[in-house]
Amino acid sequence: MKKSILSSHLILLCLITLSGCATLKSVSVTRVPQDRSKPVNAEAWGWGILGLYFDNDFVDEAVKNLDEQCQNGRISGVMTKYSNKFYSLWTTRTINASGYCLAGNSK
Amino acid sequence: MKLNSTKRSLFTAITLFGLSGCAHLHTVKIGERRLAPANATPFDAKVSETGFNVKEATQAVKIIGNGNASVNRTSDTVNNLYSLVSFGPKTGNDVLNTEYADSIGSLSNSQCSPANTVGVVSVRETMKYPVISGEIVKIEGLCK
Repeated sequence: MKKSILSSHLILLCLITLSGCATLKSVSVTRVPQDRSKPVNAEAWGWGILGLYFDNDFVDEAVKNLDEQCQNGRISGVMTKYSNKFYSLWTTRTINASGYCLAGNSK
Repeated sequence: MKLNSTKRSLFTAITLFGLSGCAHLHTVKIGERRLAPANATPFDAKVSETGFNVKEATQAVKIIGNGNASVNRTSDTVNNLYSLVSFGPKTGNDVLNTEYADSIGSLSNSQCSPANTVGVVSVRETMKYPVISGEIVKIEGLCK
């Protein structure tokens, strides 16, 4: 009985302490431009239960969100950050993409 | 004994269901986003290889072996030996060789010449099934 209570407390402690733990999976940056007056950023996320995910479609969503913010120019200095966050039984996977919107010919 | 067998079958069924078709994303890189003409066509180049998970395979052998001590011991030995020789950072399951990824550049170029390629996104992902997996490298972009 005592052992059962102890293991329940241990599980609870693990769930509480591990909640909100974050893992950085990958980061990449492209060439950063001189003109950094118009920053843009986008985020997309997907969730899973017990580490199970069924698709990676949120990647396309992040790209689309970023493109929508600079429709008449180009985006340079793109930083892509892919991270996971763990909340006890469920996890979220997030892509943060940021960059600088430039007019067609600027460097 | 009957209960153990039922539990084992249930565990196997849940595991197989849970692991079927899981998608793991390892890395994403969004490249420079350039203004593409309205008639630009999206393209994607994808290469993949079958991955193999030794740990899951040995666990499956243990389940099939139905608690046989000799099978369990052999499975553990195989698993331990493999863990010793395959440590270090990696993405996804092990494959026989990584040369499958070398052709991604030429495959991408064959679909759209580099001069006309804009908005490249490169993705490394795994489609995971019990024991085996699809280890995928993908490049998506627009061809102007």
